[in-house]
This record gives sequence, structure tokens and C-alpha cells, in this order.
Amino acid sequence: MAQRETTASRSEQAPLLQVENLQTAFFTDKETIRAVDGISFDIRRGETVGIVGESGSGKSVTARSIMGLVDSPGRVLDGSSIKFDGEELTEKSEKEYRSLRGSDIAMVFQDPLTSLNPVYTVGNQIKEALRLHRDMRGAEATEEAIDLLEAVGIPDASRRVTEYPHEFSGGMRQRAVIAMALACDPELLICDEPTTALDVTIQAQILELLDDLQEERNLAIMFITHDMGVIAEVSDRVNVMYAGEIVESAPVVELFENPRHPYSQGLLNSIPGNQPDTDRLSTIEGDVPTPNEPATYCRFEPRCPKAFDECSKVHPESLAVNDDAADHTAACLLYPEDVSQAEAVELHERRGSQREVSER
Amino acid sequence: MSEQIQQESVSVATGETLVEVNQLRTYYGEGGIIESNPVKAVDGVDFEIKRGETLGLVGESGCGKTTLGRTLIQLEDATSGEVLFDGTDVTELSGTELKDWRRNSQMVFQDPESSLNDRMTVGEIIREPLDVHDWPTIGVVVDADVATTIEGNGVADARTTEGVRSDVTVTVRGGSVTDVETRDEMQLERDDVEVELRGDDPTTVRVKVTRSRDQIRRARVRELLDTVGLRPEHYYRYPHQFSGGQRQRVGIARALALEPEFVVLDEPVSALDVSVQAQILNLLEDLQDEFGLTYLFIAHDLSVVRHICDRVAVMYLGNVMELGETEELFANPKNPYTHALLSAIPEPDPTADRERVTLRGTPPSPRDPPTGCPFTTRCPMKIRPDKYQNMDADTWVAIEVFREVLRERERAEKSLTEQAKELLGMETRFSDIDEIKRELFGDIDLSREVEEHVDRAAEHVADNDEQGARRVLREEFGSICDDERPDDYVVSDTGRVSHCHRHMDEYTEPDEFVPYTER
Repeated sequence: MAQRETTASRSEQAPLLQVENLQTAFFTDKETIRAVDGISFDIRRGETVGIVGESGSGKSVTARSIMGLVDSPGRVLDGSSIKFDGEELTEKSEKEYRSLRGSDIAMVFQDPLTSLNPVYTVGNQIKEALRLHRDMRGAEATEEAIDLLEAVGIPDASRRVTEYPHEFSGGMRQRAVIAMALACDPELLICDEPTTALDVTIQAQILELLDDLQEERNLAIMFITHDMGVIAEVSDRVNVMYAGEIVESAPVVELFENPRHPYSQGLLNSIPGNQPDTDRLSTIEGDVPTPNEPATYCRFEPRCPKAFDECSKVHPESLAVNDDAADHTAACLLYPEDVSQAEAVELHERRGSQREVSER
Repeated sequence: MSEQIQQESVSVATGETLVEVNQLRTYYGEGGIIESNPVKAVDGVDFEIKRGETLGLVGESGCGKTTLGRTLIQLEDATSGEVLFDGTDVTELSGTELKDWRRNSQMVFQDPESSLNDRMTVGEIIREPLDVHDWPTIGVVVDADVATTIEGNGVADARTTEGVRSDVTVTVRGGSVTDVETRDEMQLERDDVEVELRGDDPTTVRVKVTRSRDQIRRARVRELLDTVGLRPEHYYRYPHQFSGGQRQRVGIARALALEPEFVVLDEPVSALDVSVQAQILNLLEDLQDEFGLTYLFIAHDLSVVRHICDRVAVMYLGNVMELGETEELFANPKNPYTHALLSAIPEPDPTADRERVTLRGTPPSPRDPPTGCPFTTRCPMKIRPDKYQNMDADTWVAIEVFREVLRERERAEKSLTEQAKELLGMETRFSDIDEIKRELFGDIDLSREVEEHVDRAAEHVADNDEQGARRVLREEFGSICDDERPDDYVVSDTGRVSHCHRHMDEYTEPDEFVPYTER
């Protein structure tokens, strides 16, 4: 899947999904948690964009915001923009969203057992999607459901379609969930940790299946995971999230060969097996902070080995890491690397104030 | 070439054996009045763990690795076989003996959310094993020039009582106490111990500890908190106030409280983020060095295992498929299952170009494991009967899938109505065999011989006789892999063993064999 598209052809095509300054916050009695805090990225047709980060970094909230599934006390703040195929999603009513969900954008969740209803047969659940979005019923819908199960590689599909989720194995269930997601021929598939609950051999099967489906249907896939190995394998482009912000964004090869943000570097270094010669694993000290106030500083600064004074005063903006790399951005005061540090800090400061003005 | 081996000669590495497991089986749901069909979670496993080493246990979920770990420390009862700790078969222990032995082997659980009691403070949690085992029993050693007996409350003679360490050493020369030494882990200072001598031949050494048990235990918990990298003030906090990594540290401190020799780590880092995972792995390594612990490390994350383990056992369906030194096994897997498992790990390197072996389907049910090799249903290197050596890959896969579908069907639970329909010879959801045949063999040109057998099997299925159908296919397309359990073969100089028929002289070795699908 990876590296199918070159950068040149990437910029020519209009993005299918464009997320601009997305902010999602949860308002509790105690504090306001800015789970997603001003992130921007886009996804093009036939492309897989990975989002990687530790738990609590805001990956899943990003996916739910796009799907319009953020419930009270959470809400997508004003000034956020999510454009799907040119259409603005944040202004849609619940009813309008409902027709879009499942038919144009579909989602695959982490645990297949919780996303399937235990009291309906798998066939029934696929048929429900077909009835709602494609107005198919009866024998026609059953035929289609069987075809879908076959398409995701479930043998003996005509028997399986009448069985309940508990009669399926873990990998089989995830295949069924993918079949449901594909029922209405979506253009964008959001996969939220789809293989985390599965074994490696089954994970390999599911990744292979997603790869085939993408090729067949020219799907755009947004792939959320915390597993760097999976990200390296599936994505064309990677966004690294930390405490609600995207700290680095780059094509997959570039990110793994030459990570720029100290957090990405730390994350890659702490994978066992990435450092075969050392006895001890290098770690990132401390834990992921809860983003409960507007960022006027770098949220990674307390854990950062390269932090300097300005890091606690200036909020880093996403900027190209150097002049030649337009598609590799990092939100760190050390970049752009081709200007002096003082200039870089000033650039980030200026960018930050510009953004605030435009938001007003 | 590999040769078949006897059980005793498996050990080659130097060092003393701490745990020896022989033909261990753990079945669940056995021994009802009606003839039962138990889940064979662990089905005949042999291995050894040396003192101070880390043995990794890897495999897919449901392969029995956790059950094996739990059986080793007697949290599950073994169905048969033995587990020898320092030569004692612990499956035979019960009552007080078992409780005493349990101090020696502890467990760290996978999920720190559910393995810590929310209503107890961290201090209480770590202290609990100390309370349960009435810790401390202070072991006293007397180094004297006359015969002595030892006396005192909560004091045991470490020279004669098994399993008690020498915590206090008293030196007696010429009828008076010349020196008293205490061990650090006991939380005792010299001043906390009073020693009195009475009578002679034998002289009675009365040892009295002036510190209360409570004080000693609390001091011990504080020390443990420090050992695992937590702070003393954490004693009074509750588990929910901690992050996942810190909670796992609490679980580790609790396991270490009684100074065990052997610790079973059941997926200790699976629930943690990568950066935190690295911290815990480093901690575990430090503790092993400091206290000379022996680990059984259960995990499904193979890169973690590669980092921390000295030797690895690969499990599949209750059997150990391959066991050997970590680096060697990872670099050059001999068993077809190990090979497939390793190739399935996604590597954090987008430019890596590897041949991946994607296994078909899922492991069979442990209630009904294959009679031959456990891996036979999914093995890409399965031995074929001679006459089908040159059959093309698609046909072979179709036949294998067909067999799998039949096995799955036999396993599927049939409802009462379905059973009634079957008896009346009516159509059930299981009977549309023609459609499956079309789906599997539709695009393939079958030779007459093959087609004949497939048809015969299909006829059996149409008569609701799945077993008959399976028998037909097995007789025609089966091989030694379906019929006989493979032996363990030594496959390298370091004593690595692998469980596969292909190590026999008449077949091609698995690592030299090109799977049919790649020809």
C-alpha cells in the first residue's frame, strides 16, 4: 500500500477529506479537556493516512469528530472545519449526518465484539445497513450480504450469514465488521485500531484484506493505531499526535528514516528490536499530559530531551522542516532547520499570533 | 541432519535447572458423569527453565500460554504430568506445603486495571502477601564453637528449616555473643535484635526482635516501593490515582514482596504504551539482575520477547512447536509455524521488503485438535501424498479450505430445530454443499481422480454425514501430518528443538522447502 503515490501526483488531486484547525473539547465540571486541539490534515482518494500516538493523544476523538459522533459533554468547537468532498460537515444537522455516515464515510472500530450486536445474526446486521442506505430488502439483501462476506474472505458465507457474532472467531468478526462498513460502498474508511485486539497472524490477514479492498475500490483510508510497525506497513503518509496536537506529519518513508520531532524520535527509539545492540531500551520519561488548557507552550517540553528556555513560552506551529521538504512538517521550535534558532522561534511566534487573529 | 532425541538430553545450556516440566497437560471441563470432551489447553509440554534465565512463551491467543504459566505456579491443577521445582513435584503439593511453596513463585498479571483492588491503598496491596504468609519468619544461623539450639518468637532455625533464609547471623565464641549480623531485606538493624545465651551443651540461643511485625512489614513495603521506582508517599494512595505504568509497578512490587525465586510475567506490558512499556521492561531487567530472579515471560508481542528473553518457546494449540535460544530462533526459525508467526510481525520500517507467509484461517478448537500435528490445518509446508506432489497451488488450497469448512461445520452447534430437520432429512443451513463446491472449485480444472473424491465427500455431506466426508478427504489427501504427532527433533548445536515431521530424513527440511504457493 505504501508509497504508491508520489508527492507530485498527491498535490494535483483535490483532497477527499480536508480537516482544518479541528478542535474538540470536553467540558466537565472540573476542567475543560482539549482532546483535539487545532489539528489539520487531509486525505486523498486511494491513499492511506496513518495517525499514530499514545493512548490519550486524541486519535480516536479525531475519528469520532469526523464521523460526528462526539457526545455531550464534548463538542467540536467553532472555527473547526471538516470538508468531505468539498462539503462542510461541521454545519450538518444530525439527520443530514446520518445519511452520510455509513454510506460515504464508514468506520471500523477496535473491538469487533462490541461493535456487533450479540442478539442479531451477522446477516441481519449487514442487511440493516443495506436497507437503510441502499433500500434493499429480502432475498436481494441476503444475496448481497453473502457476496459481501465472500468479498472479505469468509468461507461458507451462506451458512455464516445466519450465524450470530459469538459463533465467529475474532478475526472473522473483524472481517464481518469490515463487510458491514463496505456495504454501502463508502469512499472513506476510518479504521480505529482495527487490528489491536487481534493476533499477529490474524492481523496480517486483515491488513492484507484492507490492502486488497483499497486497490479494488480506490478507497481512502484513515488508519489509527499506536503500533509503529503497522503504521509503517499500511500508510502512505503519517501524522504523529501528542496531547491533542499533530506534532509531525510526513510521508511514511521520510518519517521512519528521518524523524524530526523529538517525540517521534523518542517513540521510534523506544520500540524494542529497533535498537538491537543496546541492552537497555531508551525511554521517554514521564507520562502523556492531559491537555486541559490552551497551549501557549510546547506540550512535550517537560519530557523533551532537547528542550530549551523558549519551549515553555512559545507555542510551536506546524512548519516545514526545511525549504526543500514541503510535505514534511513538524511542530517544534527547532525547525525550520535552515534558519538560526532565534529566527525559528520568532517565526513560530509570528505564525501563532496570525492564527489567533484569523480565529477571531 | 537432525536426530530424534530422548527427553533427558534436551538440556544443553550450562547452569542449574530451577523448573522442569514433563509431559504437562491441563484440560478444562473434564471428568463429568457423561463422557466429556475437554478443552485441551496445554497438551503435553516439556521444557526446563534455568536459574536466573528468562524464558519467553509466545503464541496466539488461545494457544494455552497463560494456562501453562498458571499451571506452573499451581493456580490451575494439572491434569497429568509433573512440574519439578528444585526436584520437588509441585503438582503433588497441597495444604501447608503448597502455601509455603507459593512464596517462592509469584505472578505479575496482564491488566493492572483489574489485578489491583480499587478499595485498598497501594501500601495495603503490596503488604497483603506479607500478611497472608505471616511474614517475617526470621531465620537465624548460629556460628558457634559449641552445640546450640535456637529459640524465640517468630524465629526459625535457618539451618534446619527449609525455605528460610539466614536473616540473622549470630556468632558465638567462648560462651558469649561476639557478633550479630542482619540481612538488609529484613528491615532490621543490629539494635533491633537482642540475643541471650542460656545453659550449655547444648547452649540455647534466645533471639528476640524488639521491632513489631507491623513496623517491619511497613518498612519492607516502603523499600519495595523504592525498588520499583515509586515514592514512599504513594503508600497511602489508591490505584485509580496512578497511570497504567505506575500500576504495573505496584503489581511488580507485590510479586516481589516475599522474595520469590521464580516470577511468571503474564503479558506484563501488553496494556501499556510503547514509551511506558520500555520503562517497565528496563525495570524488570534491573530487578532480575539485582535479585537473581528467574522469569517466565508470557507475551504475544514478539519484539518485546526478542529484547528481554534468553530462550523462547513458541506455543500453538497447547503444544510447544519450537524452543531455543532467542537470537538463533528469531534469525533462523526452523519450525514452519515459527516462521509464519515471525513473518507476520509488522516491522517499523516502511522500506523493509520481506516475504510474508500469511496463514489461512484460524487455529482449530482446542476441544477438537487435529489428531496429527497441531499445525496441520494451516501449515503452508504440509507434507502432501506422493501422487499429489505436483498439484497446482490453487487446487490444493481449495481442497484444504474444503476440509476446513467441513471441520468448522462439525464443530458448529446445531440448534434443536436443526437437529430435528436433519433427522427428518430436510434441508438445513448446513446442507447446501453444491454451492460451496461451486464457490471453491468453480474456477478450477480438477483432474478426474480429484473430482471423484471431492464428489464422494460432497455426497456424504448431502447425507448429513460430515464425518464420513472428512474421512474420505483425509484418506485421499492426508499424509503423515494428519495422522501422527510429530516428535521433538534437535535442530541446532545449541539444543534447539522443533516439533515437525519435516525434520525426518525422508522429507525436505522446512527451511529448505519452498512452499507450493510460491512455485
